Amino acid sequence: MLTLEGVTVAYGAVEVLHGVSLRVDEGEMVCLLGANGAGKSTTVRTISGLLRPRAGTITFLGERLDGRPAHAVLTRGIAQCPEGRRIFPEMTVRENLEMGAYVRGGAGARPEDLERAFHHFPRLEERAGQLGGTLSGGEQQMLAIARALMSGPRLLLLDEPSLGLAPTMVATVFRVIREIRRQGVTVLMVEQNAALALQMADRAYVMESGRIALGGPAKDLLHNADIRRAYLGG
Amino acid sequence: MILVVVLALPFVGVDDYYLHLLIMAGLFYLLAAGMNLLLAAGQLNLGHTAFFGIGAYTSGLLAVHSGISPLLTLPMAAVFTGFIGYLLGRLTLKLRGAYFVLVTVGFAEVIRLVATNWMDLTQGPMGLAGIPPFNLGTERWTLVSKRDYYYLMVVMAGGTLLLTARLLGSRVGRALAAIQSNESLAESSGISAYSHTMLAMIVSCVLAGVAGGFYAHYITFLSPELFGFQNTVTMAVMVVAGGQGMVLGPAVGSLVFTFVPEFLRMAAFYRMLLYGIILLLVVMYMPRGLVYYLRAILGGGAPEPAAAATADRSFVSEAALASGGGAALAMREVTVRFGGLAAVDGLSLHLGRGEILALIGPNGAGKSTAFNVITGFQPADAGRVEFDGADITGLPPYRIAERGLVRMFQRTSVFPEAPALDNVLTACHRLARTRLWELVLTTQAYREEERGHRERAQGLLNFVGLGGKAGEPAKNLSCGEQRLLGLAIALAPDPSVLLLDEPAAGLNAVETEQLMRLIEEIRGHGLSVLLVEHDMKLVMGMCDRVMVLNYGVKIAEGTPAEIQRHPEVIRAYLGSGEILADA
Amino acid sequence: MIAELVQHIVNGLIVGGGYALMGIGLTLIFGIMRVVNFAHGEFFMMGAFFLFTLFSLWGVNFFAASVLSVLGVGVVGAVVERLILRRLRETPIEIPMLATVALSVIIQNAAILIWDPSPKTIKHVFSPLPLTLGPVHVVSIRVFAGLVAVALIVGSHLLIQKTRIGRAMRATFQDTDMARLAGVDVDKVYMFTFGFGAALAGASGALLGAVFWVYPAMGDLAALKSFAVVIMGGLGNFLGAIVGGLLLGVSESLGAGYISSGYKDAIGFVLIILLLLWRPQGLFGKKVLPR
Repeated sequence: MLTLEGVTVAYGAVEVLHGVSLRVDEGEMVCLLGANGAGKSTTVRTISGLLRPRAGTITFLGERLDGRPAHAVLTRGIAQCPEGRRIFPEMTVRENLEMGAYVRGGAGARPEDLERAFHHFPRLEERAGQLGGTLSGGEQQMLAIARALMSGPRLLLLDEPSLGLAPTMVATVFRVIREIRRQGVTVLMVEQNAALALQMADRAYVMESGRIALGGPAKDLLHNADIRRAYLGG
Repeated sequence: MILVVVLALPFVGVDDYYLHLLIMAGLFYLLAAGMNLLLAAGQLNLGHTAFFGIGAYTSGLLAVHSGISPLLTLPMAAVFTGFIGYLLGRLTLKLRGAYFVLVTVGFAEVIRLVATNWMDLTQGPMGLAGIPPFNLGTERWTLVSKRDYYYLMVVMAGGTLLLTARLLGSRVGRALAAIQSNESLAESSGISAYSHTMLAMIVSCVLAGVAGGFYAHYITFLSPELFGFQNTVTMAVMVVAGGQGMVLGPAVGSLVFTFVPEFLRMAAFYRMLLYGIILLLVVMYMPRGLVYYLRAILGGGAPEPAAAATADRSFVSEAALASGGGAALAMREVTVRFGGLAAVDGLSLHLGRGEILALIGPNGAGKSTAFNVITGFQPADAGRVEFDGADITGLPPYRIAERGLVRMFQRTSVFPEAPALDNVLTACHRLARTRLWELVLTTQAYREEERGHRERAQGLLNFVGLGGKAGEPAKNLSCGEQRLLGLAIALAPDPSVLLLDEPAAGLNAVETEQLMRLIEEIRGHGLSVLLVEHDMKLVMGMCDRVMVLNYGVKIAEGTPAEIQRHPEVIRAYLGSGEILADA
Repeated sequence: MIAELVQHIVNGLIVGGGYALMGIGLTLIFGIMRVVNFAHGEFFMMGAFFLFTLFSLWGVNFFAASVLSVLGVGVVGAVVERLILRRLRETPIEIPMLATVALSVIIQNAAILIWDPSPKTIKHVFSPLPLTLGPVHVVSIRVFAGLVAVALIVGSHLLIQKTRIGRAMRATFQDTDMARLAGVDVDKVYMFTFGFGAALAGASGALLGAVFWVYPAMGDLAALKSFAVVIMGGLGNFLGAIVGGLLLGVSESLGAGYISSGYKDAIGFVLIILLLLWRPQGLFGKKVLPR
């Protein structure tokens, strides 16, 4: 479904991704692990069109996406939910969701999409008229995910969905991610909670210093001593 | 050579008309040079012409009403203009970017309106006439010819060139560039952004006052037109088109842009239009200015060869390491709230002398906030921070750095535009003992100090393994090299306690090993190190103690071995599958 | 006494409406694009001259000419953004700022060449007799100007709050990268914003030009005042621009009436300096923490 081939990205003169290649198949959940600064977020931001690769190709459903702007990538069916609960703080919850359906044009979101969002996250329905900036951290993360789903993507890019959330909130968010998968959305997820991510994912890649260091089925990696060492040392 | 040409010009058939243009170019050079100085720190004063006008009116009015010689009124006007600059600076220098620009534009407009409306003082729009020309007391010594004024201007412009060259080429210039490029890092290297921009502001206003005074006694007539925005635009064009931040930029700019409009005189009607178009083209296609591109074409501007320094020279002075027991650094019950949420909640921390303490925890646990509180970037809502037994809570970052508590930033740990050596040299700022006048006069003591700092900077580069990259701009270094350069910058102010915010982020295994060796060595010199880090190999491999934060609260503390077995840490940090079980 | 005061306030509000329109344009452009538009006064001037040309010279219907003038300025603004400012993104803030300074020199001098520098009046279609409401007398063109200003302010508000492009503008303002991820074509938003801001300045110029005089340098003072308006209201703050504009209009009118007409134009800046004394850390400045 999605293929990255030798993707190289640089900020100014400094190269931060050195030829990253990976693949996500239809219906899969793939996760991207690695230490801070390894290049996970950069990879995701490059796929979604926020960054332009200096070299390499990104192919989605047979179509080249590298170098296309973010709105063009989104209309092809890839939505990104960025790191750090990024929402529009001065828009209401409903407006935030409508913003998610922006590429669909017209007056606003389809009612059934809104309904689906509220079904996944009942809390958001309660707060529909509240400004995004006044939500709690967990609610903001829910809103960010719900917003990304509003465009009806075929591939969802999730960047650190559990970042800074309380454990109960993490549980809720992951329950929803599971639900989303069940509905046929393919997911590529960056996650620092390796144990959790590996239990949920089909496959995983481990990044180190802007390269893919390791890749394979999640079950194998879960028991891989290298991973454990990378995260806990010893 | 150039000097001879400049001095000989009036004798080789350059007529009065061109001498007048040269004098005006010199005048605008004084103004542009001042603007350039402030712009070096990233502050664009688009009200600079107000100071030119204030200088002109002050000197003119004093000479007209009190009959004092222009020889005396000009310096008086310069001092007065500098004082007004100081007052405006106190009010506005805390503003940044667009706000500062707009407020200075407004200031010039107010002054223009005052000059227009205060008829009793300035004669308003009719203008102030009958200002005496320069004279040395008696009529006999009155300057009359263009040639006389030309030589006076040569002296003044030469002095300005010398002064700005000394300032921009010294630690002051480095500090200004540092403030523009990365203010937080500058402050945390012990550079006060406020006092340096204020210095630039005052010097630039004094220069404008001198230019104004000269103009008053040269033209002998003043009108509120002087305060027009057009004048400021002309100065800004000269600075930017000439090459901002560069010593020669305003000089080249003022020469070129005094003569270009004259050459456009054949197209008298279209003159200003063409002027605008030239400016637009310069801004769009040569934003760095003529001098920059000329230098690039001539292939000059090669970085000066690095001073050969001894690699093993110690970079820690004994003075930096205060003796005695107790904690090098302590936080006591510190709380920081963002909105209703406590990012750091009643946190206490204790860093022993010569100790390496790691602060770990999931993203968003409050580690960076703790660092910001310690280094003065974030006020604490409650609690105290103590350094060497003294309370440093609420001190501004540069004061904390001056005391020897220095931090390395997580992402923006370098000054990207400057060469590596200058990066470190800039951070040596707090070690300077020489005074401003010594720097301007380039005394022996100043030269020796500068040489010493250069050696120290090179030594630090050698220490982190970047000795060969001294001339390379920091932005061209690889991610890992930038981290190492950041470490050298943090060591430059001779700290006794070092705070490292994720030093290993983005480093590969080899680089991390190298970093660990360096940190070990730094500790070996007696420094204490507090670090935030995600790389567990580094944390577990070299720290004496580890403290774990989650949700702004300390959840565990102990040796690396203890922490690795701590069940709560494993759950908080590594994550566990348990959550899924109940999902 | 009271009648005089009310008269001053009403006059101030009408002029203030024009300032508010200028301020809204400037503040939107800064808030969304981080560009301080020094050519704003020239868009103001163009609005007046387009109206003068279409109506006074070519005899187009006054109302049609007004609408066409405003649209025309908007198109000029959009073209400027596309051809010049778009190339200067990612440069330090003073570079696009100086580009607009250059632009202002170009436009103003082009106007001098096209229309000559002498002041002109627009002989509009309204009766010269004042409308009287109790103690207050206002000539009808001023009433018209005031009403149109209110309509445009409300219209701008609705555009920003209720339409698709308005939503995209707000999203870009709040978080540019997030807006991109939501599918907003940020380049288009920038182009529209600059054109829209220019059009508002043009509308202000057409209205005040019909009330007062039309001349190539008329934008200089207007631009300075709109700077004062947005500093008072906060750069990027829509409501602040409206409040700042009306406040400036009224205080100028009162200042001219009770203090001195010569210093009337300085009042805005004196207000700013007082405001700075009160809040020296900057008006709406937020400190950004280093990472």
